[in-house]
Amino acid sequence: MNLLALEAGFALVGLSCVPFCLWYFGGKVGRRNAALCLASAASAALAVRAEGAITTLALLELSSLLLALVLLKDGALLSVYLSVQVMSGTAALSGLALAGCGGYRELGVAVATLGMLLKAGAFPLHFWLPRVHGDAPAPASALLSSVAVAGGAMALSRLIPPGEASGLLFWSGAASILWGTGQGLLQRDSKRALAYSTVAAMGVALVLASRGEEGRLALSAHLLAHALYKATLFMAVGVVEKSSGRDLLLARDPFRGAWPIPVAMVVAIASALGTPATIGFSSKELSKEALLQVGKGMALLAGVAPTVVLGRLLALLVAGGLGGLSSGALNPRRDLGVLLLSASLLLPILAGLPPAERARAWAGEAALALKLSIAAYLLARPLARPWDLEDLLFGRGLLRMSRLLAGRASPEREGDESPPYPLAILAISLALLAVAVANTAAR
Amino acid sequence: MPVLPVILPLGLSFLASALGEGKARGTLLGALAALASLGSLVSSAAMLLNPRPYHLGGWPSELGIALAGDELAATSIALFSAVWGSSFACALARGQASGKRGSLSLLLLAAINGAVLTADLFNLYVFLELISISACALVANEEDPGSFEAAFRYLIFSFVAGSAFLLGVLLLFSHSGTLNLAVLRDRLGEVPKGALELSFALMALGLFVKSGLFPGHLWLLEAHPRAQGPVSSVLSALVVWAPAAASARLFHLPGLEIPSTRAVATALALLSVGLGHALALREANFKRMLAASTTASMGMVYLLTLHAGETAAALFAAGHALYKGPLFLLSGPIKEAAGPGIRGLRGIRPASATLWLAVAISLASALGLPPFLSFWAKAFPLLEPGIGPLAPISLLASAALSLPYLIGALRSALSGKGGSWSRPKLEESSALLMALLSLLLGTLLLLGPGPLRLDSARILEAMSR
Repeated sequence: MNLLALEAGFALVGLSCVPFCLWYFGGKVGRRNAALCLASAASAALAVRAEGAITTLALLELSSLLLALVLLKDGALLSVYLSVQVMSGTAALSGLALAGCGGYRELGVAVATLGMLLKAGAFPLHFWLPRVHGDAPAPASALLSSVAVAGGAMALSRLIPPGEASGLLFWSGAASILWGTGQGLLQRDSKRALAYSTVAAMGVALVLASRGEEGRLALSAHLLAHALYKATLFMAVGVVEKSSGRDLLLARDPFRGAWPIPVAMVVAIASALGTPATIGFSSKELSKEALLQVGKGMALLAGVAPTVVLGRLLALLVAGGLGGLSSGALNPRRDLGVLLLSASLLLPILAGLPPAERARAWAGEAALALKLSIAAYLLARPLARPWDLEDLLFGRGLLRMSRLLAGRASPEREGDESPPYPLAILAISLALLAVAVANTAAR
Repeated sequence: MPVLPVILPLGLSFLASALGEGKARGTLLGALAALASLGSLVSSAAMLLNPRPYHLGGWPSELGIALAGDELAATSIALFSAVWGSSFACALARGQASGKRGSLSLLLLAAINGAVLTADLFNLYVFLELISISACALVANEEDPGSFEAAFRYLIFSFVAGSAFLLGVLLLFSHSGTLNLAVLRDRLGEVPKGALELSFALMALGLFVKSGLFPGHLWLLEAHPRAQGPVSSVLSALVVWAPAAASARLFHLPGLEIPSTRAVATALALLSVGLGHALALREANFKRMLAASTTASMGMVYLLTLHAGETAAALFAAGHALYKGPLFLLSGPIKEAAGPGIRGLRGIRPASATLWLAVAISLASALGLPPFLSFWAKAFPLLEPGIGPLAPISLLASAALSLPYLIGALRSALSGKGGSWSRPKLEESSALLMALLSLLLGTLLLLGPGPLRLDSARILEAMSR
């Protein structure tokens, strides 16, 4: 049943992308990319239920290949994405084959897990995700950040035998939550911020996957909710980018004449925050239940941290008067996808509202998330960074350093503000320490 | 019926040698090539339906000519016919196939078919030499004066490799008294260990050099880029594969699985993989990059033969043939449209949309993406019980090493501006069809029932062993 819901969710995201692609790209390219997006989502949906390891990986890679074709216009982006997919698929296949050889079980499982972590975009193998998801055209970003990574995380939980590599999954998941949240908060480009929040959400998925069978239902629910709200948000940001030519956070009156977009965004962020009567609420309840067995600290971290990035986005939207929101005619191609997805997030309303006690508990957590997001942003915002650590770690920094040494300044992109990394590292280290202390205390 | 893929092209090559130049003769040559291809295809279909050993004239194994009419031979011959047929048609269309070259090409088809079909060591030697002689002659062409030197170098290496192989065969024969592989299987126990080791080493060296593995890469890196496109296509897809396919029968003879010599063979294959990728990485010329990557791919084929079984190796070689063949076939049109460099690939998209599509699909296939046949080569070790760790590790390492230059080429090919769809040249459509054949075969494996569907329980079971 949980797999069926996830398949349906993937299919819904694919279908929603069709009118959006037609609007976003227009003409022949729009029709081609709409077909590619739909086929990619269908392939990922089939992978969720595929009966064998090879078939699952083949369908997932096929889904990635189809999606890569949407990135045809940007050769650099396509190269990064294809390289990551080829390496992750090969590592997963080779690792599983190696695990079958006598005496190489641990090594094989580790290689396969690392391959799947790369596909899912988990720390420290997430280096490609913010760039690809952040710079891709909006329909591709929507599918990449929802269906593609969720398919990877689901495949990981099915291919890696329960109990194997659970330590690697847990710690990679915890670090992804913290790193994704820290980096996401500091981005001034909304697509990059959403991409980092995907890293954080994949972290939660990995922590759930590390629980084996006990976390399977919560994992499916988490991936379903994440796929639906993240696709909505990427599409909404894409609408603003396409209409105004600027990023959501930089555009003046981004929602003028496009009322369905902020409405859908608010619903999506509300679902991400786990508001009662949304899919996000059910998924958060299940995740909390599964993670309380690990420790209260982890349950709190997984419940609150990934929502902080989106909470900040909501705070900024509300503070900006929802971007000059005004009424206007509905544009079916532009709005149908986001409306369909945001409506699906509200489906649990049909089953009635949750008990008041659970709603109150949620309100406390949501308030904490919002306070944390505002505090972290205010604290981090004024500080300048001496080094771009992530770039330094993953390649681009070396290029920049060589340029600096050669006396040439590196060009900065608009909105590509330098985040204060030392503070982020300090905050992450402190948070990791706090989680460890809380877990120990809870036990 | 199994003898048809050898005697039909052989007979037709004699007929073709009598033909000269001219359009009418070109048509006749085309008809002969089509007959040879179709005959081989029909024969391979018959073998697939009824796989069994075949003794020519009904002579007993030790006296007569024995053929292994098995699935490996049947599928190899079917693919040989498809790739060879496409390349020959393109050579005809470009006016590069006179009567003499056509005759040599038909002789080459007979020899590569024979090499995978034979179940006799001496006949294998004869077919390997026939492959080398006809291929060396085909490499030399008047378009590139350097090709004569490259062909000569190929001939010298082939001669040395052939001699080494023959010495190995004679050594084995002197102790066992037979050349038939089926009989040899029972008599290997009678051969002294030292002689067995030496003969295995000599035969492996011969096969490796003929397949372009270290040190045979020295001929391959000159001959493949200098030959005309259609010839390079056959050389890189089939000529290097035929000895590797034949080795699958030889290396898995129970008595020949000697750890020390297998370790040396493995080391040579690994060296070829690393060397091939390193050479491909530093190449700026597209054809030379492809040639260097052939050395690496053949290294992988031998590694898989030694460590993952003949099916995995055959899948890898077939996948390789169906992307390397089209890419070499397109080298002529690519050079005409965009020059010889890898960076020039960005010029192919404005020149011809079909050319661009064929190159992009072939490069995607080279990356081993699903559902191309080359994906299954990476996946197959999962299905082979009891394989060693070397096969999956080297598959992973090889994928990582090939990624920079393949992605670089793909990025260049994709970065050009869109061109219009005009009537495609024969090379472009043939190459596209070959690349799509890889896609079709891979999709059939993905969708089809049977052993390729592996559930997680099987993995767990394999892990617990």
